[in-house]
This record gives sequence, C-alpha cells and structure tokens, in this order.
Amino acid sequence: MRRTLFTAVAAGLAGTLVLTACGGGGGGAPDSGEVTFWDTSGPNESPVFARIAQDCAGKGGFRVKTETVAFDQALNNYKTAAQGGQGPDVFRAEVAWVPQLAKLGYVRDLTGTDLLADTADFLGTPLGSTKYEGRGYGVPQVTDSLALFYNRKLLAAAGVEPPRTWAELKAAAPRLGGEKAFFVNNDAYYALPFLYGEGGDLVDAAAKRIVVNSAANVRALETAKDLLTSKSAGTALDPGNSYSNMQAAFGAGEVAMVVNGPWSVADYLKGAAFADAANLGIAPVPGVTAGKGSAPVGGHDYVIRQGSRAPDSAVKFVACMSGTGAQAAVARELGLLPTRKSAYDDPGVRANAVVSAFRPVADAAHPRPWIPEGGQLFDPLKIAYADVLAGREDAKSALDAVAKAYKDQILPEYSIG
Amino acid sequence: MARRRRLASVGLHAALGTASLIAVFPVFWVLVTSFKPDARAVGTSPRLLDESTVDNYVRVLSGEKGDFLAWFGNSVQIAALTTVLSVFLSATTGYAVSRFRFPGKRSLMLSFLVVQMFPFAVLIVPLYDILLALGLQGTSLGLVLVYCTTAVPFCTYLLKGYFDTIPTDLDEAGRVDGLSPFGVFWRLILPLARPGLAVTAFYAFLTAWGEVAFASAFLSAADGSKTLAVGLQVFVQQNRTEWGHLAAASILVAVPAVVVFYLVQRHLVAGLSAGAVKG
Amino acid sequence: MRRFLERHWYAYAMVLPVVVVVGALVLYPLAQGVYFTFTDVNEASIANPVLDRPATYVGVGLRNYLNVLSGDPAYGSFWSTLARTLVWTFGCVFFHYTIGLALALLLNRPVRGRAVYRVLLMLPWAVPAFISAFAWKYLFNAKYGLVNQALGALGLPGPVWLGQSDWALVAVVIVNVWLGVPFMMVALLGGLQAIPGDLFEAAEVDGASAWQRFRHVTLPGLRSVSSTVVLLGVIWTFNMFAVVYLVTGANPNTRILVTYAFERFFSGATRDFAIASTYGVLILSVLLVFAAAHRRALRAGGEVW
Repeated sequence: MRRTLFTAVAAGLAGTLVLTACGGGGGGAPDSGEVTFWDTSGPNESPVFARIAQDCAGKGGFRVKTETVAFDQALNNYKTAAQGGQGPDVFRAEVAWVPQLAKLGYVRDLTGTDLLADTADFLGTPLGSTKYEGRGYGVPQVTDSLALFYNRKLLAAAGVEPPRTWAELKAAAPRLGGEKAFFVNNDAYYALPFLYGEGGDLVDAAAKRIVVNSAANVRALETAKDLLTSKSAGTALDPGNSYSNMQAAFGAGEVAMVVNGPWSVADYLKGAAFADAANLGIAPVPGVTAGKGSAPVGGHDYVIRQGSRAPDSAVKFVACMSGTGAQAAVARELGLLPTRKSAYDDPGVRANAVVSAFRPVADAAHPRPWIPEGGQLFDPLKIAYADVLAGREDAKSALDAVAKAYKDQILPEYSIG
Repeated sequence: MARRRRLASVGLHAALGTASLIAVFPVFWVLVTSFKPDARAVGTSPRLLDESTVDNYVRVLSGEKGDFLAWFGNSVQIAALTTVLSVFLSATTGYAVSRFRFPGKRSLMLSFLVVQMFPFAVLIVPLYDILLALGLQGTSLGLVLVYCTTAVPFCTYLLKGYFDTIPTDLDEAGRVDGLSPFGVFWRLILPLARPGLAVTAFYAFLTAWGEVAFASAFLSAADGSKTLAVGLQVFVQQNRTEWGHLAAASILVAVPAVVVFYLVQRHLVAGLSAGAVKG
Repeated sequence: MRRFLERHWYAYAMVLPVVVVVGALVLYPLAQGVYFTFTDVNEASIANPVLDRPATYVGVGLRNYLNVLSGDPAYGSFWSTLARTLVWTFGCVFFHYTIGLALALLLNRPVRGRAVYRVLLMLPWAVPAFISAFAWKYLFNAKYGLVNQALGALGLPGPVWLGQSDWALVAVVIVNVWLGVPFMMVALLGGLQAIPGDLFEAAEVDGASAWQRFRHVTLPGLRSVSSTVVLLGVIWTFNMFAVVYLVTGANPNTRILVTYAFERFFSGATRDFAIASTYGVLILSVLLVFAAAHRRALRAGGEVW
C-alpha cells in the first residue's frame, strides 16, 4: 500500500517532468530487427569484431549496432542496465560471469534454441562455462589461457633457455639484468599460475570448501614474493598501473619475460622490441617442477539479455558470430583461440603462430569453478596479492583474510579449509 | 624602502608564479600527452613532442573509440536539464525565504543545509529502488531527478543569500506601485539577481557535469545514455589504459568547460561572497 | 486559520515546489534507506518490476549495524576507515583553507598581472574533476609518472604513490587539495574585498604591524565567510567520492566511508544494498554530529546560522 501510494505520487511528479518517455522492457513484443552488441574486447580487437558483426548482420538480414564497453566495468554496467530492462541484446561476457548472470536472471536461457542444439563441435571446457544448473545460457566465443612471453634476442644474448620452473627463472635472472628478467603483474588473475602450479586453488566447488588459504597457496605467493626480494623480477607496486607498465616495459624490451594471454600480442607487436614479430617467443608458464606449469582457463561467451527486444535476430547474430567461419577469421587476424574444433582445421588458423603456440597451453589449462560467485573471487585476492608483493603482509595472514572475506561476503555456505 | 618594496614584489610574483605553475601544469601535461600515441604516453624519458600528431583527436571524434559525441550530448543534456529545473524551482523558494516571515521557515532552511550533508550512500539504494519502480532506471531523466536532490537545496541556499543582498526598499517601492508579491519578484528582483542566478546555474551545471557515482551506478553503459564521466572510463581500464586517447578526449571535454567557466567567473566572486558566504 | 493562510499563502506557494521535490526525492528515500538498514536487501532480493520479480528481502534487526560497528574487515573495518576518513577530511580542508587564504591575501594586493594569476589559479576548478583525477593518476605512476621522474631528477627517492601504503592516501589528498584550493581562494578573496578599507587604515594609523593587522582586522573580518566555507568544505570532502574512486580504485589504503559504501553498493564482491545503506546512515550521523558541534561553537562565538 505504502509503495503504491508513493509510486502514484512520484509518477505524477515525474510525469510533469517527462520530456522523452523511455519505455521499460519489451516482453512479448515482435523482433525489432536491430541487435545491440556490447563488445568488451580492447582497442586492438574491437575493430575486427565490429567488422564481423556487420558481415553477420548483412547475411542474416538484421541490423547490428556494436558498442565498445570497458571490460573492467562491463559486468557492473551490464547488471545495472539489465536490471532496468535496458542494455544490449547480445553481450560478450567473461566466462566467470555467465553463471552469475544466469542466477540473477539477467540472461536468457538458451537451452532448446538452435544455438545449443548441437554442441559437439565446441571444446569441452569453454562449453562448461556456459552452463548453470544444467541449463545453457551462453555460446563460447573465444578461449584463452596465460603463457610465458619472452624476448628471444634478450634470452639468446644471455644464453638462457625459456625457464620451465620458477627456480630456473630465478637462476637465470642475474644474466638477464636481475629485476629486468621478469615482470610480475600485480593482479589476482596473474597470481593463478603460481597457485595452480603448486597444486592450489581458490575454492573446491564440489566439496563446498574454501581452500584459498591452503599451504600450497601460501608457498605459491611466497614464490612470487621471493622473485621480487631476490631481485629476479620487477613489478609495479601501484596496482592501477601494473598492467600498462608491464606492457610498456616488455614492449620496449626493458623486461625479458612476462606472463600474459593471447590478447596481449597485438600490444607487444606495436612495441619497439617486437618490430620483428619473430622476436616474440611463447612458452608454457613455468611451474614448480618442469612441465607442470598451469594457467587458468579464460575466455568469453556470448549471452543474450533477458528481455531483449530482438530475441530472434540476437539468436541469429550469436549463431553467426560463434560459427566456424567467424571464429576462424578472428583466430587468423587476432591470434585468439577458437572454441570450435572445426575452426582449428582452417589452414590460416593452423599457420597462425600465436594460435599454434597457445593451443597446447589452452588444452592443458586449469579449469575454474563455474559457480555464480566465480567472478567475485578476485577482488579480495587482488588486494591480498598486492599486499604480499609489496611486503605489507605475509602470505599466510593475507590468504587467511581472503578466506574470511570469501566466507563472510561471497560463499557463506562454504566451509573454510 | 624602495628596495624592500621591490624585494617584496619579487617574492609576491615568485609565490604566485609557483602556485600558478602547479595549478596549470597537470592540465598542460594532459595537453602534451593528447598528441602522443598511446605507446609513447607511458615511457621512461618523457618528452614534450614524441611522434605527436592529432590522430588521437581524429579517432576520438570519429567515434572509433566509442561514441564520444553521443556521450558529450548526453552530458550536456543531463547537466542543462538539471540546471534549468533546479534554478527554476529554487528561485521562488530562495526569494520567499529571503523576504517573508512564515512559520516553518527556519526548519526549512535548516533542512536545506542538512540535505547538503547527505552522502549519496544513504540515498543511492532507495533512489535506485524508486527509479526501478518508475521504469526510469538507466535513463537520463532518472539521473536528472537524482541530481536535483542535491542541486535544488543548494541552489535555494545560494539564491537566498543573493536575494538578501538586494535592498528590501525595492520590494516596498514595488508594492506601493501596486505590484503583487509575485510581480515584485518577477519584474523587479529577478532581473537584478542575474549575477546570482548565473552563479547558481553554474553550480547546478557543475554538479551534474562532473558527477561520477550516480552516473556510474544508474546509467546503462550504452552509448545512447552514458555521460562523459562514465564514457571516458573506457580509456582507463585496469588492463588497457590508452593515455593518449584519454588525454585527447579530456582536452575536448575540458575546453568548453573552461570557456564557460571563464565566462561566468566575473560573476563568480560577487555571487559567492553574496551567496554561499553570507548563507 | 483563514487569516493565517491569507497572510502566508504567497510564501507557501513559492516554497511549495522545493518542498515537494525535497520531500519526494530526499525525505522519502531517506526513510526508505533507514528501513533498508534493518533488512538483508541485495541485488537478488530487491523488487524489480522490469524483470517481474517481487521483493524477497527480510528483516534482520540490528545485524547490519552490529556487523559494521564490530570493525570486522569483511564489513570494511569501520573504525579504521572512519579514522582514515577523518584524516582525509581535515587534512584536505586544512590545506584548502590555508593555501586558499594565502593565495587570496596575495591576490588581494595590487600586483601587476593579478587578473592573469587569478585566471591561472582557477584552472583546477574549471576543469571537470574526473579529468583532473585521470591526469593525476597518470602523473603519479610510480615508474613512468612525471612526479617521480621530477623527484628523481632532483635526486629524491620517488615513493610508490598509488600502491599498498599510506602514500596512496597522501596522493589522493594532494589531488583533492589541488582541486579544492581555487574555491576557497575565490570565496576568501570575496570576503577580503568585503572588509572595509578604513579598518586597515585605522589600524595602520594606530601603528599596528602587518601581523597585528592580519590577526585583528583580517581574520575577524573573514570569520563569517570562513565558518561557512569550512563547514561546506568538511561536508563536501567527507563525501568526496570521485577523486578517490578514479585515482586509486578500490585500494584499501585510500578507502573512506563513502567509497566503501559505493563498493558494497556497486562494484564490490556482492551488491549488498543493506550494508551500503547502513554505511550511508552512519556517515550521515557522523556529519550531523559534526554540524551540531560546529553550530554550538559558532553560537558560543556569538554567531548563528
């Protein structure tokens, strides 16, 4: 009653002010024929995606409007928009976001549509990210993982092979200029190779346990910190600038090695050190023991917004964008990894150096828990990781605080340890 | 004596010069950066010119980096609507509070001041709930309503102060000439209060123009609705900062703001000392 | 009653629009915000007519307040965040006021190029704050930023400005001081120009030194201006969100009450509307206490607002 009274009053007030009325959701309305696509890929990739999107629109007989959205704000922006019945028809969601959006009811259940009719061609791990409680909410766009990038000339000049373990990296560092050997990016996602390499993880979803403060993880962060204290690696201690400093330093040849994903190649090739693209070497991330390096599965999925005003066109659009042809084009031009097995058979894709270097890395990548809370696990870890690298806290107490934050704020029904 | 005076003058210029340098330098450096490619904007040995071109401006304006002009339009539209609404609403109230004695006046004034203290945190959830209920969540109009919550009380406060400086003899003369109280306000006082109105409008505009929190939380990230403060964040992502393009976009935003600022700044000192200050 | 309306209807008619706006957009939401602090409302449980979802939150009594006031790090370490907010607020306002006053005094003298200086000094105010915040973030880059390169050229060590230490707080204070000085300067300049010149002449005739004139003529003359701008400055700085959020993001070393509330509302691990509202109510309470104390102090000095 109170609510209705207020709504009436407020609506009356607003009514006098309304200049342009914008309607809410359009449930049941016929297809508008225009698909708005929110592309969260960066400046290097978005022109290619925008072009392929236009091609799809031309073939499918609908219009498409591609809007670039900042990746790090995209999840929040999408949620805000979707809550109000606004936003894109199709959204490029990071793999960890899909279960969360599905749980909150912001994306359409695609089970039973043409999109998920035949999924045999998709790689298993990326496809897993689109599932929530047994139903499918997305279509895989690209998959990726992290690998070790190295400057061939610098390593050759120092007589160093790409390290297979962190210990090898540490041993080789003096010959590569100590801190200039490697750049540790101060971000939670980039802590995962250290954690996975030690056999650690953030949570054990099957057993509903928080394992972020395990002994393995403590060792892992100590390894990362030790690279800094032993002057075998450098970092930017201001997390806000860490990634761009890493890109600038490696691109300019000031740092010999970094860990990063296939999306970063375009940045490096613009740098002075990689005017000759052949100078860029790619190897699996180092581990504790050789060959046991392990990096997280990443990537992106297409999702369709619940309440989209172009539901049929959106399905056609996603089908085209995730099709073999589009994926192969993306892989050829950008070196991003397709999620369809058939796309890897494309000769142009097979010839792409980045794809072939990353293919085994991606196949061996460590799966992440596809739970709605998966995307939220990074915020507390990011602060803890930065604190540990800055020497403000020891690994054990920092990770204990992360575990507590997971329990209190994110996964109350899980148990710690 | 003359020597001392010269010394004092040198000191004065040195102090003001240093302060001006500090005030201007960051903005100057944004200008310098705006001509550099992104890759050159972050480097070990910064130079004034480093492969500098106007490419960044071209790309920002052409919409290659997101629809900059649409964001600009949204910002202007939202800020202008907020300004018009809040000045319009607050002028009559400011006058009434300045001229009339009526029961409840004191608590009204006090409530305006208290509203100034409201952190957005206390209103953000309920306002969000209300906008959802009205179907205005994610729209510009919703955001205008939200901005009015802070702009209206503050504008009233400023204008009340300004009206206080206009002698009441004028009102009385108007009444003797047969004008109604509203006529006095409309025909006599309002024209005299133009500098005060300009300052008030300026503040309302600034409130809306540079606001970040509500705009980030309430606007959809669609090009059709986001403001500059939200749109520019596209250039400073955690993992991909394009400083060159950000700087170019910043200059394009700052130039009109600075021009408007200097157009009204003549009134600013007068308006401030009359308004906020005597509040 | 009728006489009452006859006498006052003009006044009430003119006041009505603002009363309606404030009532509908401020007081009602405030009441609702307070109500939310006693529930467990969040993104999933708030009513959403667009998605056709009814409200499913339930009352939890004082749990939110107890959680927050316990100072638990999972709820933003309330007490240390409050302490940091106070350091931030009074640090900023102190430098705003002192630097603003110094510049106003300098500009109040007959000096050649005064208009030019004034225009230059007001630039930080003219440029939108979000732009300045980005610019400073760029300048404060520990490795490639101009600030540290300048310090390095002078042979001074450059701290990691925006990292995991209190330097980050220093950095955002610097940015906010840079942003806020022009307002103080202009307001105080207006106040200075409003002090009658003959007061200074009389003091000079009496043989008062420059310091005595400042102490006994200038400062008392600025009293009313100062009390207002300082009060406003404290309120604005306490609630200043954009600078901290845009320069450092969610860095716990620069976390102040409003940024944490926003984190919980919007960009944090979970969109916990109830905790965000609880923070809002607590912030408002702190400010009300401050304003009441300020008012009492002014009253003791013989002034009322």
